[in-house]
Amino acid sequence: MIKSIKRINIGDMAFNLFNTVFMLLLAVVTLYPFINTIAVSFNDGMDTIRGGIYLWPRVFSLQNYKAVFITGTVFNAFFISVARTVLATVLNIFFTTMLAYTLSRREYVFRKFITVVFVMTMYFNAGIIPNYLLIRDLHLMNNFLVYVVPSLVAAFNLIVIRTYIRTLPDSLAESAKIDGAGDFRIFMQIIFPLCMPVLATVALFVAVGSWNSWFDTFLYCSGRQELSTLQYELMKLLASATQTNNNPAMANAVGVDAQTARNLVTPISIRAAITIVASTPILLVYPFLQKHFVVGLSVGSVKE
Amino acid sequence: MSNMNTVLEKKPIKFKSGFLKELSTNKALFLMILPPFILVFINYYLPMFGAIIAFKNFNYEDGFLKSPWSGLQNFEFLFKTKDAWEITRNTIGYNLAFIVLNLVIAVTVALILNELRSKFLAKFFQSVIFLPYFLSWVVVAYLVYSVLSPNGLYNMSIAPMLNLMPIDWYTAPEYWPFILPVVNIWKNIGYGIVLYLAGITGIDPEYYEAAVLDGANKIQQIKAITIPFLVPLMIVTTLMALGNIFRSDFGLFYQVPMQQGLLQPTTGVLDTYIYNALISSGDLGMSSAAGFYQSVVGFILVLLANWGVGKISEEHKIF
Repeated sequence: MIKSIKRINIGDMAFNLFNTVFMLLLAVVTLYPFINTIAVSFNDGMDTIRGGIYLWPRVFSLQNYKAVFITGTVFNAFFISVARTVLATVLNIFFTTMLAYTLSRREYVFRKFITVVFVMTMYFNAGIIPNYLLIRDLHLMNNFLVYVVPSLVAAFNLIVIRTYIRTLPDSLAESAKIDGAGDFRIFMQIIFPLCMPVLATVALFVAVGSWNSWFDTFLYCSGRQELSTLQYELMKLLASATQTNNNPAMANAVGVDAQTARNLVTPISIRAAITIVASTPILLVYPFLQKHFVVGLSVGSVKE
Repeated sequence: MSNMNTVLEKKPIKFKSGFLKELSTNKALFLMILPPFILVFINYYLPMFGAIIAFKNFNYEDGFLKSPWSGLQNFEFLFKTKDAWEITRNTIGYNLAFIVLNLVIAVTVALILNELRSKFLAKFFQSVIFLPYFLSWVVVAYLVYSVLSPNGLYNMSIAPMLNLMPIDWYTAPEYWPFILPVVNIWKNIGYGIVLYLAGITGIDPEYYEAAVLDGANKIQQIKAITIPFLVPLMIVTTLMALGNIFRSDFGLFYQVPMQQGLLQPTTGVLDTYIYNALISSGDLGMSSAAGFYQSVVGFILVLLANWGVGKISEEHKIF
């Protein structure tokens, strides 16, 4: 009896040890490129060219970040990225919640039809060319609005919010109605404030999506430098990297002063620094993101 | 609920038609729906009519309606090239590889995380592996470049250490059918892991308690309890992915190979082909034919997948 318990324990311990080691390896593979990039971004540019930077900087320097932010282009792109993210998140939340509320009202006869109209957009798309021609005909090319308007309502978020509103007691809206409140007032004063927990989740989804998007800048706004976003600036740097490897003059692609570039920073360091700048906001909200994501995932899978 | 209905019914309503009656009782609700509804109509449904340009000899001056019809000419051109076969093969091939790899790896890692003794470590590993999911494709393309570039991690450190020849990855198409699945897994596997972990957490612990009493070890418990419980979730996820087999993640196929022409034969998919045709050649005819081909086949596949999902689990159906 005692022997068998002991044997199971040893087997279980080996099993656990194997699992832990396996996961540790996986974690290292996942994180290494990112940690390496952080190290390079804080390392002296000329020193990086010698190679051998792995987990931490050898010659610590803030020069790369200075070079990135001293130029107007990246600073402006950072501002545009923040502006589009904030605006898209606020407007998205308002319109999606309003729609979700109407679709949660059981006496509203068209809710099934309208839900399908929105859910279909998750699975069918006319494709890039008709969309491109649409944006062109709407005169949204090289226009800041193209970052915000086309994505105002996302079907997945709609379902998440609607499912949440359904869990709120009906009596709240009913008693307000008896007191003479209209539907819009019920929404603004009762439902909207009660939705805050789920709205935090959706706001994070929208904000991350907006911050990370590059395709709209690339396709619709590449004609106007002042509308460039951080992701697009990084993309341009990368595209030039494959053409002219290791040419310090390339730092000019972000408008870094040639003199500064030759002395202190190199394209490799600049790229690393912008990569980190472009992903830092994500890292800052990541702990919340992860927690809310799991909640949203389980709620969003129920369509009707 | 019944309370509210009686309130509504007491209102004097003179309209005969059901729609107008509904409109008058729920005026505010209609007004609240209107802005998003118009937006989604313009943004998603209007372009669907625009798909007719696949059958036209489109030019910008005449626009959608006045451009002359060209019948199936655009499709003839498209399917005569060897591109059509290549991009279809790549799109389906990569998607199949992603579906299989994602399923196997996500379920395996979810099982391992669930079995870890230390819940703190499990949480930590999950957080680390989920992180790349939230990074943009541009950032991921840079991270890949920092490993594969001529002076990246592989050529500067790994190859010399293991006595291997340096490789110029960005001019060698034969490696990319392996690189792209690895990058895709690296970025997206966290999503699947979280999904399956949520599924595992939902299993009633009584099953395991009973199994322990019967003397089942961990592996036996996983085989007899956990995996059977996850099967419906696996099937639904896989069917939905199969429905999207004609679409690919534009960021992965456009950003990660860095638009290197030499890599086109093994990295070009429908989405990148359509985009490149639009931008570089300006040939709207052939690219819109490719777009139409993708949309129609994609539509049929989603319908089939949805039908299949309905057979397994009614609540997971899309519509």
